[in-house]
Amino acid sequence: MTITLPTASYWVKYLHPEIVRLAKPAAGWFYTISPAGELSVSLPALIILGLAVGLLSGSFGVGSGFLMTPFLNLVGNIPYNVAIGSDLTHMVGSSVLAHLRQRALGYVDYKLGLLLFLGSVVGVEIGAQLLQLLKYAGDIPFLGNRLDWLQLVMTITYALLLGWIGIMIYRETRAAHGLGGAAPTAPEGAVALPGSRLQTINLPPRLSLPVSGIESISLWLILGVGLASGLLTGFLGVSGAFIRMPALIYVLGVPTVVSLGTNLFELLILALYGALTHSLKGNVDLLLVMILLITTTVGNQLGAALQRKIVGPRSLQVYILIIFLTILIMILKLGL
Amino acid sequence: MEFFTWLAGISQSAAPPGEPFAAQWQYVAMSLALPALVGAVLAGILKIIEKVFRVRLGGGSV
Repeated sequence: MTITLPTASYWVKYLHPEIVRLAKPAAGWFYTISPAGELSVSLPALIILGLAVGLLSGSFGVGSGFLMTPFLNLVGNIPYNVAIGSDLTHMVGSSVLAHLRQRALGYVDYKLGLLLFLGSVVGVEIGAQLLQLLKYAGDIPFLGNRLDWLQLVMTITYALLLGWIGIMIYRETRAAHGLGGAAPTAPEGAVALPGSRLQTINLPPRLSLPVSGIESISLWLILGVGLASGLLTGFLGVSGAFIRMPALIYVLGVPTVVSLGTNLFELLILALYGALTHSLKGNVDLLLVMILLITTTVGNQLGAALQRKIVGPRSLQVYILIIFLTILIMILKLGL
Repeated sequence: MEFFTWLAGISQSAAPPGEPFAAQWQYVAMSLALPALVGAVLAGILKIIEKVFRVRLGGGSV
């Protein structure tokens, strides 16, 4: 059973105009491209993918965006711009759900969230415009084939990002084993010192954040954190929480309980802006968004149930293996 | 089924062939409203499951 993805088909035809001259359909692992250039992806494969990524995310407590986008490209040959735009739009739904489910768990510093958003908007727009440049950049010869710039640059970028995340998780599991299996802890004094040191940057205007207990901080520091995480969101379709959360706690000095709620609030409005700008650029496939949202939610709940029973530092090694296998397959796909 | 056909219809570029993608306003509006609505409905379903089966489900992650 296959499902035809209209927006993805548009970009397949745009990025590979030679496809519409094929006499027979081109078929991949889980997809078919008709001679007219319509991309049909296996529905069971998409459902299994959404369930699997949601399960990983729910059981390991790590975001799913950085795995979802390369998997969509690998499994369904969905162009990176559509995978990114659709994953970011799916994040609107998942952040509404998380916000409704977790609103009792943390305080929200709305002033900080809106200031972060100002920086993030600029970052998201820069990221989305970079993606636009790659979409219209054409193709280059690569290992005897013609390869579009979008595929090449995004494969390299995602391989580097996944490699970095894999190494970070590996270090954490090593540290946990060194501590006799206990959860890794931050170094002594790390919570207060880096935050307080950067908070002293005397770049006006300075403002106070009473909800976060911060008396005075440079506006530019907040905007900088928003810009960096927004750039990742706009360009790669990831939530950027793996940058934003440590930055809120260690750079801005926001208490953890406030950073949790503020991160979710910021993500919700950021995802809305990301969905707006990516839909205006034609990067959102609505059918794909619906499938991803429902399947990742179910997978997420299964993962959360699994997490209470079996997940520990040793099982994180499975996650690391998945990450490095994904990188390997992405690189192999470049040469095919 | 008609809804999905309509979604597929509004997802097409409004520009003539060969021109850069031009989004239809319904497509942009649905990109914002649809996932938010589905997310809220899913949160409601999880809440109902918790009440009916007296279980504690996960908070959802992004």
